[in-house]
Amino acid sequence: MHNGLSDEALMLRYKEGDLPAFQELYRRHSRGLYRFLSWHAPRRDWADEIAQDSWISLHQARQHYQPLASFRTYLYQIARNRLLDLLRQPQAQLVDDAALFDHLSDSGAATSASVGADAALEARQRTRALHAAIHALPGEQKEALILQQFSGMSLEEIAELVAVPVETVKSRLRYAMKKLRQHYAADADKEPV
Amino acid sequence: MTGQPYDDDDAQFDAFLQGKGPLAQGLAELTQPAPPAALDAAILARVAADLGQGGTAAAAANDDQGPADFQPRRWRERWRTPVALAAGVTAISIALPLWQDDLAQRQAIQASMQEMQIPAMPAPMTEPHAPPEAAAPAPDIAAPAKDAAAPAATGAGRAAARPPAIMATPSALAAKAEAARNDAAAEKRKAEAPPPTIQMPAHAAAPSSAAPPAPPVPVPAYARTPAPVVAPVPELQPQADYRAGAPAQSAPAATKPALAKQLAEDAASQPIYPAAVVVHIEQLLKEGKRDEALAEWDRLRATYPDYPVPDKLREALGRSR
Repeated sequence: MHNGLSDEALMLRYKEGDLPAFQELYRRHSRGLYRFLSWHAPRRDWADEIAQDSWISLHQARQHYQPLASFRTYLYQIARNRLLDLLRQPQAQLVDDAALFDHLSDSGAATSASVGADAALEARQRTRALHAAIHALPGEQKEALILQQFSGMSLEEIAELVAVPVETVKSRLRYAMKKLRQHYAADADKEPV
Repeated sequence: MTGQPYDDDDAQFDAFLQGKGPLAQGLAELTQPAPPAALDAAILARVAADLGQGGTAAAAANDDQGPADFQPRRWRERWRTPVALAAGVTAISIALPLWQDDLAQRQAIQASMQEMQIPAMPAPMTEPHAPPEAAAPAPDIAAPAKDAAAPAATGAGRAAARPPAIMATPSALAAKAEAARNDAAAEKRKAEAPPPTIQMPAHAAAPSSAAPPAPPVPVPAYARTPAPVVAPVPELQPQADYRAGAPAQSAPAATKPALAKQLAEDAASQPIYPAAVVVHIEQLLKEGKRDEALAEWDRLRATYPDYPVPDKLREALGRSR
């Protein structure tokens, strides 16, 4: 029923109290938003908390929504503000770097346990290396990479979200790609050994 | 050729953005975190419950209202106090110079009014001294009684016809009216009396009792006899002469400036009253300054020949009187 509607049209319907419109919006964007939060939040429970808080905030502020920008940018702006507020907390600074994003690596390892032992070990090593490479990126490049590769946002949406020109987003993504490719190539060279 | 590496890199970047290439595939193969089912259920239940009630949940005071609406409200809250302060400072900076200018203008007006009133004061003072209108009526005195019967009208008419030197203030008008009355009274008296040979000023006809009483002269405690008539304070004498006309003690031939100069010199050379001179002489004798004491004695006797002096002091000075 709502599949053919744009996000903005769904949001306007949801603004009028249409619950299926909200369910459709949630189906479209809940995973991408959760990925964005999980790749930035030091702990998984923090990502859960921010995600829930972001959707509830969207629900409470729906009467003030104006279709001036894309709905996804609007939703991610709420979540990003919550995330930045949380990362400024003192307890966020105390998280050990070694434990940072461990929940991401662990989740990937758990899903690959069903394959063969060697392949699983190889995939696990590759996943950890790639996680480490992404984690080693500067914050702005990492944010652009996650939003573009994992959350499916366009360059224009990213530029509007982080309030920079599109060319700046491109530059950040280009640098991130080069660094990951170098890391990826070095990891590939090690494989034959 | 120079653009070939760039083109390759750009093509790889475009492919990366489209999810192509080994790196993009590697990223896509990463197992991504997914929201727990419990979280999905909780969020959907919360929204469904709220929409099912048909009302909108009231947002908490510290909840983010979203980027669409927070800016105007926060702008007002953020700039309310600075704008109020700026408005206050601006109002003060505008009002203070205006108030200072107004105050300066008021002071200037008051000063100009005082300057306008000050020249009007000599009018009643100079009128008795140099009354051209009062001296002029001499031919009128010899004129028939018909002319003398209406001197007031002529005097008043002259006063009215006289062009005012300054803007007529209430005090100046009152002084002129009084001068006109004095002229009329003087001319009436002159018309009734035989024409004098010497023109007297109008104030000369004023009785001496009209003069203000002289200030009390301090009398020494040991004075047995009252001070002589000439004893009063010399510097007050010009004013007494001025008010009471020409008393018998003053030299009638002396002009007013010469008399004033002489009185000023006398006031500078003479002590205030003889009792102080006597005390001063006694002090000089105690200090052994006999010559100065004798000089003061001579000055005292030259000025106050009959002033009673203690015999002891006279004997100490070796003088008979």
